[in-house]
Amino acid sequence: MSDQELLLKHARHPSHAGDPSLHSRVGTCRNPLCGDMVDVGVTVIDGVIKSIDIRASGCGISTASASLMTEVVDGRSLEDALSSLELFNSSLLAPVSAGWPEQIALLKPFQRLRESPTRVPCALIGWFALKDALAKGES
Amino acid sequence: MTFDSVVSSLRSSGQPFAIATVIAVRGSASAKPGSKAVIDSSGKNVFGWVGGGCAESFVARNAVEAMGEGRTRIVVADLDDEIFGLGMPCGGVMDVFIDPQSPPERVVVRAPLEAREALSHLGAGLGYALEFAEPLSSGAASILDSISGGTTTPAEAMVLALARGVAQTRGASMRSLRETKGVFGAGSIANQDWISGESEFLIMGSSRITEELARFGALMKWPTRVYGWNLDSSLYPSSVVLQTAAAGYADLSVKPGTLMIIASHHKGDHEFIEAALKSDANYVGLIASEKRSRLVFKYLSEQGLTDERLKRIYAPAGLDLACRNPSEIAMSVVSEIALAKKAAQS
Repeated sequence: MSDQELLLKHARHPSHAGDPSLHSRVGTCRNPLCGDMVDVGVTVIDGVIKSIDIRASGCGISTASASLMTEVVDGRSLEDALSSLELFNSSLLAPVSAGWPEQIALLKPFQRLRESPTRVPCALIGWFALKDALAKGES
Repeated sequence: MTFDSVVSSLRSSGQPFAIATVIAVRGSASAKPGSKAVIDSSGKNVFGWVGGGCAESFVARNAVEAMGEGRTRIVVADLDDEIFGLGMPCGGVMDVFIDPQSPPERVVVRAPLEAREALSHLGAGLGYALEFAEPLSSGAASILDSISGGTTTPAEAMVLALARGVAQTRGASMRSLRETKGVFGAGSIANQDWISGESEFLIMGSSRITEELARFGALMKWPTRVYGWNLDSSLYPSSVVLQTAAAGYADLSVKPGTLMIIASHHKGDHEFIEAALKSDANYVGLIASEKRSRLVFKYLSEQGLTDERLKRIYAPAGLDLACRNPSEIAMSVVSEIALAKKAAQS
């Protein structure tokens, strides 16, 4: 399956699509310029993300990125999740020829966005919603 | 609310904004060639339409960047690839021209109180917002420096001070372009006898640049004549003499001491330069690119003009002010003439 087909699959059928409000930590991120929006709900036990649900509406990249994010962070510690965000962000902004870090290999299909920097924010909406949820703490 | 009223309102507010225009569509897209949008400094589309969703966001982001850079750009919106395009599989590609509209450029000039009103008027007419620094502060242009030469008139000093301010604002060198881009380079400019007395400012050609040159000539109170074609008197100051060129330029007369600037876009370049050099013009300038300057010099050299004669030609004409429009090109040329006059007479 090509990167494009994989991302399209996640855009059409996102992983962990559910009701974020059922979780104890809920975060959200909106891009007012284009209308993309992602809500994320996480349940954290002993510093580990035990379950996660997203509700995404927007372009293919924003939905696919939120979907793959859930696969990356599910079962990981909060520190791991936040460091994955930082690594993903910096990897998207790296030069086109730079390598892709092994720690976030699952997100490598987004590497081509380095050639379309104006779409990088689309790929980060879900991650910023997650960061928002983790920052808010237990509700 | 109309396009014009929105643009006019934003312009009066002094805030930057951008106009985005769809200039080409290949395949299918909701916006069509000619569709326009006005985008404010925050990236909000305040009028018009160049596509919605990710296309609008894409154009807005580029508009904000273009405003920051102060440069136009053409962006290609891929509406075909849902994933790696703009997320909208409309089936087409759209080219959008983004034109940032900046508030007047802030130029710092050092000038005595009595010159500030006239300078402000001149600066506003050229689209600058002038700020006056104290005469002794560093980094600002000084009108006093220009006046101290003794041979410069107040109008010439005022234009020189403004040119210095523009150059400093943009980090331009204000050096003569013939030194930096000319055939002979720096250090090989011929010493020139300057015929004293009132010199005629003779502008060759017919274009927006000749109109601006004439405006500056009138401002400098130089006797000014435009020699060209299709000359529209309503576009020139009333004090300027307009002469329509005859076939073969048979009616061209050049007085000794003339300040000739050739802005004819290659028409008559060689003939005008030869006429000026034969008549002992004080200044012969050619508004041209580096490449065209070299071509003209090559031709004149082949016609037998010696290097000593060719070194009298200012080509490309003007000072390095990082010029962006005809007014600034004209200002750079008259500033070069004022400096050449000052150097020759001092």
